[in-house]
Amino acid sequence: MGKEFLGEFEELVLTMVAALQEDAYGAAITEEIESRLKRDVNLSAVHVTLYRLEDKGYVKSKLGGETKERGGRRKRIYTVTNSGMATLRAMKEARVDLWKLIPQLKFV
Amino acid sequence: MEKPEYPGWILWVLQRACPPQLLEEIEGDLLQRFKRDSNKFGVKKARWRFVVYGLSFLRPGILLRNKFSFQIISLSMIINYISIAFRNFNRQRVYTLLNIIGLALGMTASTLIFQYVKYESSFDKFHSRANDIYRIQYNGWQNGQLNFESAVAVPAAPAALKNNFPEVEAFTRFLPIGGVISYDAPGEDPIVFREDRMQFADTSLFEVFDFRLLKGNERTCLKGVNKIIISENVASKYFGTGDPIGKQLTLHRGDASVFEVTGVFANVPENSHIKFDFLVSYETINAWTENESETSWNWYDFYSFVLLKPGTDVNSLQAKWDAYLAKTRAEEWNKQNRRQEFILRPLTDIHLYSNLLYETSPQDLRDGDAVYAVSVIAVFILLIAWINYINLATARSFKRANEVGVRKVVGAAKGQLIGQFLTESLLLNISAAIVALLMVRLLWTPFCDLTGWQIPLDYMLAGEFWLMVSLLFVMGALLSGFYPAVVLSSFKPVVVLKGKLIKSSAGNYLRKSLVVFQFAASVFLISGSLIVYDQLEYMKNKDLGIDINEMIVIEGPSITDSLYASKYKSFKTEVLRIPGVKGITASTSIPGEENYWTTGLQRINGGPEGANVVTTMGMDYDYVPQFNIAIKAGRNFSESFNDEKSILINEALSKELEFANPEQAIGQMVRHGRDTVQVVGVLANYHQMSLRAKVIPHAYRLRTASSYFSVKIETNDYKGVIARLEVPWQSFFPGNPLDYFFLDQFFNKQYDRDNRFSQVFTIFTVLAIIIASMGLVGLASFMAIQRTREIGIRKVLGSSVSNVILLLSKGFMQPVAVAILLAMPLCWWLMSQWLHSFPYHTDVNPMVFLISGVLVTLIAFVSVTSQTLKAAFTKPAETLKYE
Repeated sequence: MGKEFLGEFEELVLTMVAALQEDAYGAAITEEIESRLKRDVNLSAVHVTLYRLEDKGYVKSKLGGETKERGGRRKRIYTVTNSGMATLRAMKEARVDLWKLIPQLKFV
Repeated sequence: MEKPEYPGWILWVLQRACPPQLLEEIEGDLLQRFKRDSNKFGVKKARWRFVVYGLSFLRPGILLRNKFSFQIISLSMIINYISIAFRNFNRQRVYTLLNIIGLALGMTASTLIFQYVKYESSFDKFHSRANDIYRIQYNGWQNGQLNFESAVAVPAAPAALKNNFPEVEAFTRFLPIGGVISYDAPGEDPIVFREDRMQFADTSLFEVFDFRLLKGNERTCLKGVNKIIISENVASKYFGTGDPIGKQLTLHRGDASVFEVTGVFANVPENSHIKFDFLVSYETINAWTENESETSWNWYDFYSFVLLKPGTDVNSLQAKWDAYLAKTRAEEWNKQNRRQEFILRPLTDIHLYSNLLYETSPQDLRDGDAVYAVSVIAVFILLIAWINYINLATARSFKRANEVGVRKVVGAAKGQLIGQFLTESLLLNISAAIVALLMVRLLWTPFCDLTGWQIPLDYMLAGEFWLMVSLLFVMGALLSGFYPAVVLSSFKPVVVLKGKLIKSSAGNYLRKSLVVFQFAASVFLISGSLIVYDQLEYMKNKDLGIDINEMIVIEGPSITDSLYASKYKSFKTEVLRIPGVKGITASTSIPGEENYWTTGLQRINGGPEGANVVTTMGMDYDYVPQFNIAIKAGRNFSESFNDEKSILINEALSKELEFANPEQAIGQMVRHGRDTVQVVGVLANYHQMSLRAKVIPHAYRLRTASSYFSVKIETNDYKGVIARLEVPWQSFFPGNPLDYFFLDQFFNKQYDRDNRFSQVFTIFTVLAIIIASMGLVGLASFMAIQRTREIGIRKVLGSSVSNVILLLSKGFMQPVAVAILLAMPLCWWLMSQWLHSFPYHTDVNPMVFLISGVLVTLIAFVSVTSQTLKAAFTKPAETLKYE
């Protein structure tokens, strides 16, 4: 893990981008985190994190379709880049390795 | 269209704050979220969340992206602006220099003046509750007429105010005294000084004011009899580095009183209207006067201050207080047919707007109007400097017309051109501001010395100072830069590139009217300063009715004994033997010193009802002849009569006592205080004080030994006389310092403030005219260059040099003439108003306008011809050879 380090929230957002595929944009990611993790998330925090991830090259973005509920404004759809995917995977593996260090619970 | 449910202003804010490339998605996400929230929580809560979410986008993570991209776009443009500006400056060094010097002079002058105004208006504001502190002004009415308005009140008044009105939190009083203070250190020579910054003061002093006590206890240091607290300066003067607390100081005034030092206070700030080095406990004066200094309603020598509760309505308190006085004091008043008013005056107005009888240090007070008049001058100078820039820039515009045309053709937007020209004015103003700052720093001390303004140098360190300088600079850059920028950028490329001469008559008119303004201001300032000077000379040279020249005044001894009178007599005999001494006379006061001795005076038979409060002076037999005061009727005090029960009055008093003429007064009996005395002589009115004050009714009693000895000398060797005075002085009045001064100098000190005002006026007048003529030089030289070819052709066709000069100068002399005509009536009117504020004044001398008119014309003509001459003498062959 000598490379870039990802913060907890960054990792969360990056995972969401990967999970949501074609539907990964600010508001959707926020809603998804809120409904799945039952945790209150600030919209602007998600945006800032997405921009930061883009700066680091973990995601890329393009402008997508507009909808009426958005007042005619387009979405910015994010997709994970290869390096983003690699980092995500590396982090997951590192975590699994760490999990293995915990002594197995044995039912007596 | 339906009004959106979400608060639209959030989007407005975001549009301005967010980077454009991110804006759309942010807005979209916000709106989408709003829809969802309003379904989930209802519209009201959704709106609230919309605001919170929206504002939380104003975070560095978003805003900084903004700035970064913004800089990339305009930084190169700004660099370009700057480099072009420098090229232009370099190409036209003379104009650039003229502009920078003019602007810098203007900024320097106005910065200094504004600092001065700030200082003068800072007086007494260092007290944390300055706005709740009021001084009691005492108005005395006699027979229905206002007799005097005094800064000192009676001691019972503030106490009554405090005891009857809950709005009053505290009161405190000062009673000035003076005398010789000595410290008799055991085993050393006593340390002796004459001190006059001394007051009796109430314990409540520290409740009302913020004077800082460094040693001792605020509540107790002025409690009890014979306690004294001293300033830091005094502490080191008498005690060096030793601890003054508990030491004893002796005050000599007739008899000696010993005070115990119970506290040391921080030196009274320079911007306090009341200044003191010693404060003696109030109980001391109560003990000396059998409590009269607590209860008297007649003895008015007390500076009285009250502290009101915050938010008190002073007017309604004043009304209640007036009613209270009318009720409780009526009986007393009616006995003497008089009335007393005690008016609450704001502490912070004293320094600039108070001019009452018996002010604590009248020479330090300022005339608020004069102070603000000086700031008007500052604004004038600034305007003149800015106008220079505008005029020079628009005049040069012809030269840059091509540049503008080409730029526009290549695609420059108007905004960019304005940016270019504003950058130039910004750069010029920055350079001027830097030069100005240097000059302000260098000139600060000499300037203060010259004008007598005491502006503390640490003002330069205050944030306010820098704010002001930057404000001046930004205002200058925008005000002077904006108009030329708009004019220059509005040239039409088609017209200018065809090479047509742009004749903008509007611009020409504007330039001319600005020149009119500059020179009108100059004429105004010149005439004004001449009139101020005139009035000063008038005051200094007017016959005072009294001869104060060649007079040395010795302050009478404070350490005396019962034999004082006879000792003075022997001293006098000794002094008269000194060669060069023509006479010596003793008096309780001298010309130029306000007379504090006031006593009720009333005719026994006839005359006005009730007693007049009359200023009185004690003097010996020789005062009238030595000061050369004319006697209108009767005689002077004389040793051949017993004049203990005699009185002299001046003409003004004779009139006030309703004598038909001075002769009638002679032999009449009057009650003067507790004495019944006979009027033996009427003196001509003379000026006890400067000509700023009217001659007031005055009475004179015989006192053979008193506080001032005036020695008339008839020699230039005054040093020798003083040296010879030492010997009898020390033998008759041992222990007293021999303090002396020259009476004419002392008297003319009253005009210090006026002299300084006149000097300031003159300095800034000169500055204004220098800046204005610099502008004219610039304009003229530019015009001369513009018309080089025309002049060449004219000369070829037979024009003479003088014709050409006339032709070139005419355009400049017209506005100057208009300026003179405009400024004169205005100045006449304003300065007449000013003159009428003096009881004795000259009239506006028409010569003043002639002088200033001719002077300004001359200056303008010299500035213009200095430039046109060169053009007129240039050989046509040289100018036309390129055609």
